[in-house]
Amino acid sequence: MATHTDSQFHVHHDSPEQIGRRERLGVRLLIVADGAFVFGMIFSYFYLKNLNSNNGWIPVKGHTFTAISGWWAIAPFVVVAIIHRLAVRNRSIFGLVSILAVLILAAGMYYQWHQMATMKFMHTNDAGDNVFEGAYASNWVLLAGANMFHYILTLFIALGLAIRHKRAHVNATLETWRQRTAGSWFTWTAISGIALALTTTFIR
Amino acid sequence: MTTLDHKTTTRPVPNPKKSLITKLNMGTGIILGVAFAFGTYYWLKSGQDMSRPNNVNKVLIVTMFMWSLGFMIGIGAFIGPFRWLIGKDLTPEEELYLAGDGQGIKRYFKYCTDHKVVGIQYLVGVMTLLGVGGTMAMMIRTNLAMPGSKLVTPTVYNSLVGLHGITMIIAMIIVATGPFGNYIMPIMIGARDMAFPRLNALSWWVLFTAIPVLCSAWFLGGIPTGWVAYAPLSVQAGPGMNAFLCTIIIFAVSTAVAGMNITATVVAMRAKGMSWNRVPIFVVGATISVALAIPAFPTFMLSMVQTGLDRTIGTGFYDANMGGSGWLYAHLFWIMGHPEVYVILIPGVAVLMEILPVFVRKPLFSYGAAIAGFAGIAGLSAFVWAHHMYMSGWLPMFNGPFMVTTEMISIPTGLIFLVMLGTLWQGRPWMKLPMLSVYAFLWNMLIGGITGIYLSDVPADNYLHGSMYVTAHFHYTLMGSALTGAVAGLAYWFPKMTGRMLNERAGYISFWLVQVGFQVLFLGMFVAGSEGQPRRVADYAHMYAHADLISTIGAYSVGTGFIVLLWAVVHSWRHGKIAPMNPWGAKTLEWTVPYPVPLTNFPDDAMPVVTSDFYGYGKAVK
Amino acid sequence: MQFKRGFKLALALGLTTVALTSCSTAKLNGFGYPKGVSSTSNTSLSLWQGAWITAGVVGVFTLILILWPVVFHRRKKGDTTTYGKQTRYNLPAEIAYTVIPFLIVAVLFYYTARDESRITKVDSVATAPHNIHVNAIQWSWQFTYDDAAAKPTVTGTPGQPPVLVVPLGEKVLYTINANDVDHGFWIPAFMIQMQALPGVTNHIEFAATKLGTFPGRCNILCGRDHSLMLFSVKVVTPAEYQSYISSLKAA
Repeated sequence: MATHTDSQFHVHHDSPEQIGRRERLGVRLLIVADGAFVFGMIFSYFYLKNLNSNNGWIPVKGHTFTAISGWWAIAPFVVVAIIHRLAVRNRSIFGLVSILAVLILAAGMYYQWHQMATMKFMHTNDAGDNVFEGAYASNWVLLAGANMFHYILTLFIALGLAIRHKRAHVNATLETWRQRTAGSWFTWTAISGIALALTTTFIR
Repeated sequence: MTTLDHKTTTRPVPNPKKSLITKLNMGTGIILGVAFAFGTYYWLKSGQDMSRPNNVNKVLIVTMFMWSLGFMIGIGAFIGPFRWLIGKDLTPEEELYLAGDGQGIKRYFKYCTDHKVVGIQYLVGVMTLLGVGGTMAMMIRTNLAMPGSKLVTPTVYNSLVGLHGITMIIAMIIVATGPFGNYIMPIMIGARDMAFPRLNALSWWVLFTAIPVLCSAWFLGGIPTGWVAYAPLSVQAGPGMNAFLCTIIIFAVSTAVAGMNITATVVAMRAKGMSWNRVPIFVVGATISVALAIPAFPTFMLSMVQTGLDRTIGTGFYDANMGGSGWLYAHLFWIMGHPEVYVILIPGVAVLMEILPVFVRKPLFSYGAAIAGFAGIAGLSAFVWAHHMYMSGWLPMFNGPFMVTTEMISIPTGLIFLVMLGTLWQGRPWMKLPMLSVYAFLWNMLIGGITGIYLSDVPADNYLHGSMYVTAHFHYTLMGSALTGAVAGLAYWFPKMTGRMLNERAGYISFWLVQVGFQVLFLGMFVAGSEGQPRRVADYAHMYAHADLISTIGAYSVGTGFIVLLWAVVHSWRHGKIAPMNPWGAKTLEWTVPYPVPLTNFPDDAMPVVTSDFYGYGKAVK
Repeated sequence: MQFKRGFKLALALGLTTVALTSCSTAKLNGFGYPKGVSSTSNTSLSLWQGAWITAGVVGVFTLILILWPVVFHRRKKGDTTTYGKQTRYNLPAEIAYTVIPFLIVAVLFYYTARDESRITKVDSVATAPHNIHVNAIQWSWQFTYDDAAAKPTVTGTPGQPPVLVVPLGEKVLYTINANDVDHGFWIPAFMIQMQALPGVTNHIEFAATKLGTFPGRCNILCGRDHSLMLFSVKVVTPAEYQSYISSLKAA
């Protein structure tokens, strides 16, 4: 494997600052796309809630999640965003924090999965098909699924940061840029998580 | 030896023997994709009661996504992220290998990160999609030639309409930003590659996996809904609908990645001295278009995710009995749907604006107005979606505001006309094929624009909504304007992309067949529509027989014209006249590089430095 | 010589275009549409015609601007050295091209907003002189007349489109529903339509003011036999309408 100097490590000879800046821009643009998706989900939630067509918002048997459970499901995102921010500023704790972030996210993912496994607003209809009781239930499962998707992506990133901190031999400047760029994503998951949790706070 | 010098021929071919990437290509992708799909299908099928539509949908949707995932794994798309995860980043040799260095024709079938390869892949992909969509259009018109629907059954007809629609929409979204945005645009701004070369390859190959999925709709009974896929019909539709919604979701991923990539490239990688007021207008247009697509398409994806959930696990987003609403679908769809038509239109117009100064040897008139026009259209387009819902009874009090925003779009569109007319004024037009397209565009866009005004008015829409008039109107804007722009771009950049000139005579024949046929085709539709023929009907009343027959005759002329163009492209690509480096005497940077364009576009010691904009033709030269 | 021939060709082409458009406009613009078919169609029609005249003026003006340089600013034969004037900006033109469309849009909006409120105005169900319920089904229509004590319902099939009988000159309130998928209730001759959506109740109201039979269609793709989802509107005198209602009651 070839060793290389800073000016040569990229195939097109760009400097680490250029690449880092560019990658941060790219991630932020993808956040815009994800943001449109999240906006669409929140729009769906409130649209159907206010429309309440055929009085079908609240599940037939009245089962809903408590407002606080939504906040628990997104809390790990907020915690990880904050501790990652601290770790980028204080490099000595980065290794510890990156491992902690993986654990916290895994716990959050488990909690989200647990919620989805225990939702009570489904029943089997006469034809034998699974049916969600009402629009609240439909929207809830979509929001939870999107949250789960965020967990999977974020866990991948956090895992990568932890492993790379241990063993990767990389350009230090670029790696710092990438850690900050990951921070952009972590901050976004926290913001979108808060938005989703706030949405599910309005139940009736 | 990792030094990159400019002489591609003398450089030793990088050969990272240990790496898996050397062994992967499209073939391994297909093998793994098919294996994943079959494995998933039979594994899931065994545990399900396949007599229930929900279970069938579940199995099919998962199977389709597994095909896409398997293909992407098989072609090596995830090697980069995986190597990042385990902390062993790709080495320069491997990156160079991925860029297809020294691999000849084989790199077109690999996960190749070179933007020029991706551009050619997009070009071939777009032409394939246009061919498929065009064939469906010809079948539709043949069936409508006479009342009585003699050619196909209503079910097949509805599938034809829907799949023609979605195939063309996908093709038109990428028709200019795909080939030219990838091949030409980075050279135009003096960059060596796109900002994210691996994601560039990803966007193409993800799109590629959507094509078999879309085609599978035919084998699953077609789609009954048209490309708008209105719920709840789409929820109740047969298994073909799964193919449709998977295609859209996969395509939305590709678009988000490609849009982000192009935007980042233009923002971050322009040559030294290329300030924002010196960027070529095509680059500005393409960037505004994809930047508009980034926030627009996720809502389409969301609407398809919700349709998919309704069809599989039993949610009720669009089921009125379960608290859902078809209005929700219409909102989500059109929040994407109206920006989307401008995502299609703007790059086409931008191509023509790039071409126009070259062929009149004048600067682009009022560059500022051009950007204001694009930005105005893009900005307003986010607030016009509900004009598709005037007739749905959705909050009529909002009809007024949406009428204002929609009518306001004619102002930035007027600016675009101003720019083009101002550039033409006192120009000395050089009547080459790309230049003819400029005139065709102006004529078509004039008709498309004027007829669109009526659809923005509630009282006129009250009458015309859902009629053939609408079909004719948006074909004038999307086909007559955007596709004309893309064809002009093909004729203009063909020498740079293939090293040969496009056969001129065939080009002229094709141009006249297409453009004249086009007028006949859609004039017939305007008449039929304003007399009350609905859209998307397999059969119609006898009173429309003349208008429809005229349309069909026009359609055959258009079809013939495109076959001639296809022949010209294929023939010229192989046997055309060898092109000089700058056949049109244009000033933009892509004409300063030789063909074949070197891997890094510009030599290390001669990166371009921009000192003025690219439209200063002045008095001298030539 | 070359120039003259080009000019003549352009002139001929232009004239043909004008002739073509004017003969097709007779149809296109609805100038050929019957006047006074319904209580709202005159409003629609005059707006439709007025807008086409404005659009025609704008269109011809733009067309002249497109063709003028082709004809008069052509490169002389063999002349490869002369360049056009290298104009980059022209502030008056730019301002004009922003302000004039803005004014046109403002005027257009005033008229459309005014007419829209006239056309879509609906009385309450209680005060409407006649109530007809339109239920769209895959792939036909059901009409229920409140005058006939809400039953029986007239139901069509794709092979046998139903007939909607309405009284001449009397306002009818249509209540439009669907149970299965989205449909569109469209009567082209009356220049009016309204969508029939599941879970949604929509209304339109107008009076037919001309005797005769007019075709009506579904205009939202609704599945296999969408193209056969037809009906016809039969406008009859109030007396005939009453006898039709009593025949329904008797059935």
